[in-house]
Parts: sequence; structure tokens; C-alpha cells
Amino acid sequence: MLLTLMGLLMCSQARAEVRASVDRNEVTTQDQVVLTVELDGASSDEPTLPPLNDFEVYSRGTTQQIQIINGQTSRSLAFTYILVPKRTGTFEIGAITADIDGHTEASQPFSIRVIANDKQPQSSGDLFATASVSKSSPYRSEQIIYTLRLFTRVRIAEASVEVPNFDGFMVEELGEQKSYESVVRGQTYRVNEFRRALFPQETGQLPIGPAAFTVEAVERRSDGFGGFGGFLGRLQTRSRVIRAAPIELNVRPLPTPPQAFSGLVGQFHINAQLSKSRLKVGESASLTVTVSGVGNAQMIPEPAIDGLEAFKSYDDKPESKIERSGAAIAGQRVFRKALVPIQAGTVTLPPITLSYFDPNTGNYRTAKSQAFPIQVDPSDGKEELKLTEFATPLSGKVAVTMLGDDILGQHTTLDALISQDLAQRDLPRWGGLTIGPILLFAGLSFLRRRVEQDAVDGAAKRRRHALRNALRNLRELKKIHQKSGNKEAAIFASRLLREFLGAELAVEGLALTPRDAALRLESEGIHSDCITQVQELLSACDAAQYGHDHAGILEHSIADNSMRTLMQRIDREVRASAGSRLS
Amino acid sequence: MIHATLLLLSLSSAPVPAATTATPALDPATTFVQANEAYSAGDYDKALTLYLKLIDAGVRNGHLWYNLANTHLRRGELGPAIAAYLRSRSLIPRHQDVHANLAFARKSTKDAIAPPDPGAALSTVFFWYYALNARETATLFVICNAVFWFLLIVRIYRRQTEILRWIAISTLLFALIFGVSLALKVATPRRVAVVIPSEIAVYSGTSQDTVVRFKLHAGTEVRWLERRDRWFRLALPDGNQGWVLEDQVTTLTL
Repeated sequence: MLLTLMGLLMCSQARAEVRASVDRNEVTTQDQVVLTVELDGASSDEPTLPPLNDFEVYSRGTTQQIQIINGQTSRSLAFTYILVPKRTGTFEIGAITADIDGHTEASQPFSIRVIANDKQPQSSGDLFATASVSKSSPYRSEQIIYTLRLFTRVRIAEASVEVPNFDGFMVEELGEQKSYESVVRGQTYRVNEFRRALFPQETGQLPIGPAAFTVEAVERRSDGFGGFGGFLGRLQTRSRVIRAAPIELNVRPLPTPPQAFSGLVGQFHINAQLSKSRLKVGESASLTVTVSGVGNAQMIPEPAIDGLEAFKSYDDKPESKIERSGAAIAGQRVFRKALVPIQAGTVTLPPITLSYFDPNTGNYRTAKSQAFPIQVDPSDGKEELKLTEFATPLSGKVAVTMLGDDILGQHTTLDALISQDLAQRDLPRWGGLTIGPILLFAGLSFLRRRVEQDAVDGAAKRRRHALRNALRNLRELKKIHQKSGNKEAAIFASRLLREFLGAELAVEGLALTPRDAALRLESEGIHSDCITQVQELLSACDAAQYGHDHAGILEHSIADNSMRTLMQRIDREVRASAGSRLS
Repeated sequence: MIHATLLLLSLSSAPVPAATTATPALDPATTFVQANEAYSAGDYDKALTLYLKLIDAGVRNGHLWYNLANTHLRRGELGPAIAAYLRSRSLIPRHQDVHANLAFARKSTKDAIAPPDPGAALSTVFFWYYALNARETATLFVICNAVFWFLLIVRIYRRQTEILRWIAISTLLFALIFGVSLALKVATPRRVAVVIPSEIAVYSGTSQDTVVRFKLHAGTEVRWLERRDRWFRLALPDGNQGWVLEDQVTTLTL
């Protein structure tokens, strides 16, 4: 709640504002000053000007500006006045007030210096430049304003300025370039003005070098037609360098400073605020110390704060703001601390002081805040640091405030009906997916190895396929025997058996005689009864081919599958023999 | 993208359970929509009944457990809500809603006992273990395993290149990582017990005649070590142990 209120307060302060500005702070009695009063907020009433007896005041109308940023509409009104000075002198223009959103807001006061017309610089033709300082014998670190002006009565196509180096000074930009008209010895000039805030860092004679303007002045070129030449001549530009005279300053040293001197030179104020004057042990209070003023505000140090022994102290990053748009450099620095009392009782924070040098009076002065009596009550329980106030946004950021706490909403897509667990019923599938690639690899590896072996050893392939081919041919033999008779069957059987034996024994089978076959089978370690059967069968086939009646053996072998059994046995025994040889 | 891919992979082989397996009249989609509508209308009793019907029908889905947990929480049943959130988290471990609501529910527990969650260092180093559910881990294992063997098959028929060799080694490594992770998930699941009643007594033995060692309150999560008859043995983070009756805690193996 506190944060919200503070935020609203800050917000309203930022939106409702009265700003007053003049086009220049130094004029002659023959010049005019344009005063612009800007009102930010919902007011449409004209602002109330302070008594301006030293000027004649003319209203120049109103302009309105409406901005819509992030959906927020902001409205600003600008009232323009012409001030014509009546006499010379330095005139303080007080606060200009206006009613905005029901509140009375006021602008910062400022001053206008009116000088006599004869104090204006000596003119030297259509173009000349001047340089001046607000004070020729300042104190060290005192702010002085260096003003550079270019006076022109001719058209300028292009111009550039070369400012001095300002050796021995700390330099700050001051406002934007100003452009206005001024009357010098009866002639109206267009004036371009540049300003710098200078802070001398050395004492004694300190020069400021010359400044130079390089301008492209537009002129008419004479074309030789006498009096008409100037009027009818063509326009051309001529480059000219206009210099402003150097300035010599006499910088005075500061008097012997007091021990607590902060190094600030100018006019400064100190303001301190404590968020609570009564709190419990362990709770926190926020101490805000604001140092502001005109002068070397960039150098504002943190003021020493006494009496913090009874507190735990937590510093926050200081916040600085330097104002460069006014007549002089002004600024403020805000220091914040969270103070957590350690023990109960009444504690008084003494006033916070800041020693600075005031060049207007030539003396050291001390800015001082009020003292803060604090009542510290015992805590309810054990100490618990509550640094919530310390979390106040300090640099324009806003702390997020949780307004409510709740669970996040339901999931409504139908994906919620798809099982996501590793169910036991799915285990066979997962196992298959895991083992499948392994088995595939093993199978393909085996096949590949077989192909490679076959490529190297053709006999092995023949032997491997011998029985399969023979058994297939045996089925064919039965058909031939039924269809074509004994002779054709004997021819086919002879060929079948010899090819089988050739494949098993790795020889050319068709050339085998029964005796050759017997010898080779014997050498392979095949049982003698098998060999005998083979011999008989081969002989029977040969005899049947040539008309002898041995078809009975063949028919018998086909019919009772003894030929099939014989070949299977031979195949098995040849493989066993090969295996024993390998082992 | 990874999430989407994993989801796709895991869903492709996970059909919606047939409604007819448990209750022939149950249409899962209609029931789910009705449950959500009841929840939105504030009829948490009806929503709870319908969500439980879906779970009884065999639907094992993290979103469903999440919705059930929300419903329990709306009904003020802290223990069942936290148990359901834990189940939901084990199935959809990367879903931030579950983490947020679980944290919300845990704020309401009374006992100052840290939940038996893995530490930040452990869950960072072995992130895949905690960021994938068992099904996703299995899917990744199967994919890496298949890719590895496929690369070996390629090697049979083609000359092996250096890049193929490294890809094969990488996939083997990933297959091992996911395989070991899966084995650990299946073989050594985390055992968590969540207290259901507002307060329970934890005894020194498996009898209500023994000394009450300490008391626990609704929603508190502790490890359970063993089961003996109707009793579960609980262990606190500080090492203290005791026995509770089975109907006073929801025991989970996550």
C-alpha cells in the first residue's frame, strides 16, 4: 500500500508541472525577452505571473500539445509572453503559478539581467563575435558561465564554432544553443548564443583562449552594372573566420576550509526524511537524505550521518540528477539507507550537516537537516529483518506487487488421455524394438560372411547345397519315372547321384565311375554299407541306361525313399568328416 | 522442438486406452471434457469423480494427474493434491504449470521438512534423468540403439569412414546413457509418501500400542523405506524413522 501511494504521488508529481523558460537571460533595454510557460496537466487556465513591474508584458498566445503514449493521454499548454525591459538591472522573476488538476503548481524562479545598450559590444560590420564570463574573479571551483555569441546581419549558409580548450577548468554543457535577435547600436542582429558552465580548478591568472566561428556568409557578387550590380548580382558564399577575444580570469583560492568541508562551492541545501518515527526491533525504516543546490553539484558527497550505532544500516545506490537547462548548473543527489534498530529504546538521530563554501558571501556555511527522535519498541518474536521498504523502487523501476496467489489452470487438450507411462503390457514391444536391430545385424552379418566364404571357396558352397539340390531333383526323378519309364529315370538318377557325390566330394561328379566314387567316399570316412549302396545304385543306373534289367534296384530305391536316406546319410557323414578335419 | 519430438515419439506408440477395458460406457474424451467443465463451473466433486473414472479406466497421463491435483487442491485436500502433482511431474517433468502448482501447494504444508526432491546440482548434472519420463527415456534408448545397430549394418556393406565410426560411438554412448537411466528409473524408483489426513502419528513400531515418535501433517512428503503388513516405514531427512498405517499416506514410486 505504501509503495502504491508513493508511486501515485510520484506519478502525479511528474505529470502536473509548471515550467518557465526565457530565450535568454541577458538583454539590453532595446531587446525583448520571450517567456514561455509550459503547463503539463489538465488545466486550461492561464498561469498567474508574478509582479513584473520592470517589464512591459505582452501575451503572444497559446499552443497546445496532446500526446498519447502507451494509451495514456497527456496534455500540455504553452503560454508565450514578450517581456520588454523598462530599465537596467538584474531582476528576479518569481515563481509562476497555475492550477493543475486541483493543485497549485509553481515554476522555479529565475533571473534576467538587463544591461544598457551602450554596454553592448562594439560592432564591427555585419559579422562579429563576443565571449564573456559571468564573473571575472571567481573562487576556485565556483561556477561561472562562459557565454559565446555570434552577431550576424548577413545570411549564413553554414557555420561552425571552435570553443576554447578551457585548460584548468572543469566544463559542463549548459542548455542548448539559443538564437534570437538583438539591437546593437541601432542595428538589428541575429544572435547565436552558446553557454558553458566552468569550474576553475586552479588559482591565479587563468586564461580562456579565443573562440572562433567559421561561417559561410552569403553575399551578392557585383557583375559590373554599376548601381544595379549589387541588386542584380548573383549570390555567392564567402568563408570567413570570426574570432571572439580571449578572456583572462583571476581565480581566487578558497579561504582556509573547516574540517568538515565537503568540497562543494555554491548554494546547497540538505533535506532528510525518515519513513517511521516508531518501529520495532528488527523492522526497517527508510532514511532519505537529499542534497541539492546550485554549483558543482556533480561533486556532492554523501553526508556523514552520526548516531547510527543503534542500527543495522543498509545503503542503496545514490540517485543523481543534474539540471543543465537553466541559467546555471544545479542538481541534487539522493542517498537512501534502510535502518534496522538493534535494541529497544528511544534513539535520536542528530541533524545531518553538510559544509560548503558560498561564493556570494565569501564564507563557509553549513546546511543542516532536522533531528529525528525514534521510538524503538521490542519485537514480538525473534529478530526478522523486513527490508520491504528498502525494496522501494529507487531508479524509476517499479517493484512488482503480488495482488493475489492462486494455482494455474486446468489442461484441457485431449492429449491428457494418452498414456505416458511405461506400462508392463508394452514391455514385449519395447524388448522387440531393442533386440530387433541386434538380431537383424546378426543375421545380415552371418549372410555376409557366408557370401564371402563362398566367394573364396566355391566347393564349400557346392557341398552346402548338394543335399538340397539332390532332394529337389529326387522329386523330379519320381515324376520322370512315373511318366517316362525306367530308362529315362535311370539316366536322370545316374546324373542326380553323380552330381550329388561330385558336390559332396568336391570333384566333377558326372565323370565318376562307381569305383571312383567308392574310393573317394572311403577316403572321406563314409561307412562301407553306404559305399556299397552307392556302388550298387550307380551300377544299376548304368545298366538300366543300356538296357540291362537292373531296374528293380532303381525302382526299389525310388519307391521306398532309400535313395533319399542314402544321400542324407552321406551328406551328414561328409559334414562330420569335414568338421573333424577342421577341429 | 525436443519436447515436441519426444512427445511425438512417445505418443506414436501409445494408443489411447480402450474405454471398454474397464467401464464399457465410458467415453474418455467426453468424460474429460465434462470433468473440465465441472471444474470450471466450480463443481469440484463432479470433476473429481470424472477424473478418477478416467484414471480407473487406465489413462496414465501427467496432464490428467495435474487436473486431478488441481481439483483436490480446490477441495482443500492438500495431501492427495500433492501426491497427484508428484505423479504428474513424473510423467510431464518439463511442464512448468506442474512445478508452479506443486510449489503453491507445498506452501500450505505445515511441517518444515524439505521434500525429498533431488538437489539442484544433481538435477543439473543429470538433467536428462530428471527432465525425461520413463517412456521418453525408453524411446530415446530404442532410437539410439536402433541407430547404432543400423550403423553397424551399414558398416557390413560399405567401407567404414571416420565420421560413421564417431557417429556410431556417439549413438552407442547415448544408448548406454539412456539405457542405464531407464534401468535406474525402473529398478530404483524414488519412494515418496505423502501424508493425507490433517495430522498423523508416526509410531516406533508396527502397532498403535508403541510410542508415538513424532507427528506429521497433511501434504508432508517423506521417503518410505519398506512395507510390513499394513504399515509403512517412513524416514525423515534428519534420519528419524517411524511407522504409519497405510491408509494415512499415499505412497508413490516415482
